[in-house]
Amino acid sequence: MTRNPKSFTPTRRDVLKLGGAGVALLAAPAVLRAQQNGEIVFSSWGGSWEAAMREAWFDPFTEKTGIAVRSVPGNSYGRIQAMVESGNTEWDIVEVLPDFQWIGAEKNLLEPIDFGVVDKSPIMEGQDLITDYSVPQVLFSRLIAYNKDLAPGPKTFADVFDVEKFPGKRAFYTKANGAYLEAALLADGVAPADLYPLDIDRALAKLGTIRDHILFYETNAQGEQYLSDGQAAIGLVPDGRALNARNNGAPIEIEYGLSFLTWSAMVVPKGAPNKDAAMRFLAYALTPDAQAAIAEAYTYGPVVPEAFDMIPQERAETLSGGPQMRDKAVILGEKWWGENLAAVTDKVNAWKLS
Amino acid sequence: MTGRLSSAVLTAFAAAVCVFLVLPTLAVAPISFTETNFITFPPRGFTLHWYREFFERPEWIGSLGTSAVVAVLTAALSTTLGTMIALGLGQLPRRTGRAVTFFFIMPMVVPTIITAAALYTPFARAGLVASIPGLVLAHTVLALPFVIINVSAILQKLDRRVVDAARSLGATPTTAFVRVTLPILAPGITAGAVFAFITSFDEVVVALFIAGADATTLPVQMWSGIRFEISPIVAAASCLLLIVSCVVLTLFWLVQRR
Amino acid sequence: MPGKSMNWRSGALLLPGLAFLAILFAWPVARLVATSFSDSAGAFVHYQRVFLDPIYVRVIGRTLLLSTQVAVLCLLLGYPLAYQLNRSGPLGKAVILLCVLIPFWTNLLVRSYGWIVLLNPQGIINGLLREIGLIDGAIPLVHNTTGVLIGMTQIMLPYMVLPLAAVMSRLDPTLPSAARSLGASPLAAFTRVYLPLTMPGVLAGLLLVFMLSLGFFVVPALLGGPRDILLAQLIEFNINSTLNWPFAAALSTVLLVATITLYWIGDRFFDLGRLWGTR
Repeated sequence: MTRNPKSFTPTRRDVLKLGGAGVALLAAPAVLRAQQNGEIVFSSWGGSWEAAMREAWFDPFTEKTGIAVRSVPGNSYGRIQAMVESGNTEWDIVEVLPDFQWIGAEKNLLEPIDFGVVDKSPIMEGQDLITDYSVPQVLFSRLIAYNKDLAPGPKTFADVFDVEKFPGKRAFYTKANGAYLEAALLADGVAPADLYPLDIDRALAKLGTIRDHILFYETNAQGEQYLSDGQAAIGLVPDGRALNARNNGAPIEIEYGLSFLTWSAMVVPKGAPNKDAAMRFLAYALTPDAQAAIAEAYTYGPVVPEAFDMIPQERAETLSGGPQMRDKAVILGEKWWGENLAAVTDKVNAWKLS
Repeated sequence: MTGRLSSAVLTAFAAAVCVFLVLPTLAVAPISFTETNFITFPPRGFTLHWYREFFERPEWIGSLGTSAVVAVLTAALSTTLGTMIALGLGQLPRRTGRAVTFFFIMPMVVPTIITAAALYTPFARAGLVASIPGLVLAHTVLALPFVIINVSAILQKLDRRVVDAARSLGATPTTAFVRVTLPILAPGITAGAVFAFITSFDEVVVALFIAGADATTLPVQMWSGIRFEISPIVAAASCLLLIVSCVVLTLFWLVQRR
Repeated sequence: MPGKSMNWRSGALLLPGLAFLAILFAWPVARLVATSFSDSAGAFVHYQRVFLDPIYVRVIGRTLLLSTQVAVLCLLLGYPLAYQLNRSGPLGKAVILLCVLIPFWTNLLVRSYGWIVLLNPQGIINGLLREIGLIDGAIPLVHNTTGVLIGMTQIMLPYMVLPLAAVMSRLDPTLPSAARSLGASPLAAFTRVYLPLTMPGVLAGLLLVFMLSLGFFVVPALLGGPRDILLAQLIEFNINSTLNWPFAAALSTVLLVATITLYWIGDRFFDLGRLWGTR
């Protein structure tokens, strides 16, 4: 029913309608929306990532289905809860970190995913990537990157914790689930398969050996900054950040052998106004085409392995889940973190303060 | 002799404090001209690209407009309300005054994140989320204490006899207020209004909760995305705000000089 | 005679404000505070955790200490600046006001980055000091408590300077010289005459800075070291990462009670109440 704007030829009725344009102008967004087959509201992290999603996902999806995608900032867990509990959900889809798959479900904040609409069969196998209430969005990892002007390349996690042979500061993400506890345990000789449940005391004891050499960063952009300008020699940072720094000309090397794989997830908050359209979007975003498109537009890996066949080899080798880290990356125990984040944070804070 | 020396020392000290205040801004200002698409120091090359981006992208220029509207309305509402409160407090008996006063400065004491969270549910029910009136009301809650404190500090010095003298010379209470009290309170009211404007303009925590697609403020726009990269466009936005404040203060200076 | 009409008038002046804050602040916050007692495991479980777990007591202590330090630093830097602002001509006034307001116009994260550029071991200030030959290595100025103090003092300084300047602008500028002409030494003229008269501004500024500092978390997180954990960070974490609102509400309630107590002490022993014009 929607008219192609390019073939618009004014008729008398159209001209008459223009007479009321003064009023209509105020209601323009509503009019535009009414012409389409509805709309979904997608709450995102914003910035250039949102721009990438618009190009790779939102606009093609609207073209295909007529459903517009409006993105809004401020996807915090606190706001999701406030929204759902006030009975006034405005968002249809929210992108979140994986711990929310369990935290959100436990607090009864999420709609179950309609797997009759969303095909989960092509999604990568692995611990808990799919739950009744969430689907994965893209893969990313936290990995060891180093400033090659300052440090020789560490080959093992034990090297990362050896400040004699590998001098300089280490940049770790400040939150307890920034993978540095896992790194400490691996450095201390724990086998990857035996990591969870984490032995926090042992991990903190190992961290204590390099205590004065740790620089905690608050935002990922800050972590990238520390490595680029040499304040830190070695960092455990998101792969996208390290790649970005390297592409921008910083003397940074990435050690794909020392990486932790994780993902971001998409959820539908309870009471979402356009639930059915949201399910159709999730189904679309998980097609191999859409996954390949987002992996081309941003430095995240596709959660559908098939998509790798459509991505140039050179690009694939820089992405999370790509051939360069296959069988080497440790998958983070996000379910365990969803249940233990609060308690572990208390312990880590006590250690930081001591 | 010692007077001139101490005056020079004072001027030097004040200049040093001023440098301290502007130093971090001066350090980043050059970054907004960098040719790289990330923040680096020292910056490389020179381009006005990031300024063009700011004016061409609707989400940036639009959020600046929203912020300006919200901040002006917040300043107007909270200055009016806050001045009335300060005047009322000034007339209360001491004991009651203490308790009531503390109630009024509570929004400053409660962590903003708590206020933001608490306001969300009533705002959602009243349809105020993602709207400019919602942002104005929430920001006025935060800004009120600043107006009250600034006006009260002046009021405390107000010599009631001046007002009484005006009254005894035949001025009506309204005339006495407009002609005598208000001019005396003017510096406090101005300082309060400036604080209220800035509180709103710079506020991110409450705005992150209340703002939405149709009402996004500049700080929210700067905040979103910063988890991904600190883009030079954020530095450009900061410099633009700086230029705006320079212009405003130059006008202020010209008006004062006349 | 004045009692009744004054009460009526002050009531009329206060009513809109009272109604406004009651609906838009007191009621919503009270509901949230009530949730801190609403756990099925007992009304006080969250408070037990706050007071029995040494981390929280320490964080509260650090928060109070740091806020005090920032308030005092702001006073030491802000008082002379406000004085200078007050005695300057229009141009000088405009320049100082501009400098005071600049921190507000610079985005928090950009400003923090500015400090890191200046203060880090390879940064401009350490480089400069090495150049002059004052130091050999580098003074650790950032990613520790020093960094937090520098960053927060800069941000809070305007909240000290503006109330001070407002109070000073109401004083007779000839006062100190009048005291001097009566034979008082410059120091006595200041401590006996000028300082007491500006006390309302001093207290207003200290209170503003102290209370605002209590709720700060972005700057300490960016410029501080691992030990610089402040209460607001933990509140934010419990709301946005673990959705433990009751515990966040309990932490906020503790912060509130601590502030009210301090305020009460100030009012009782330092006559803070005079500040509000309540006689």
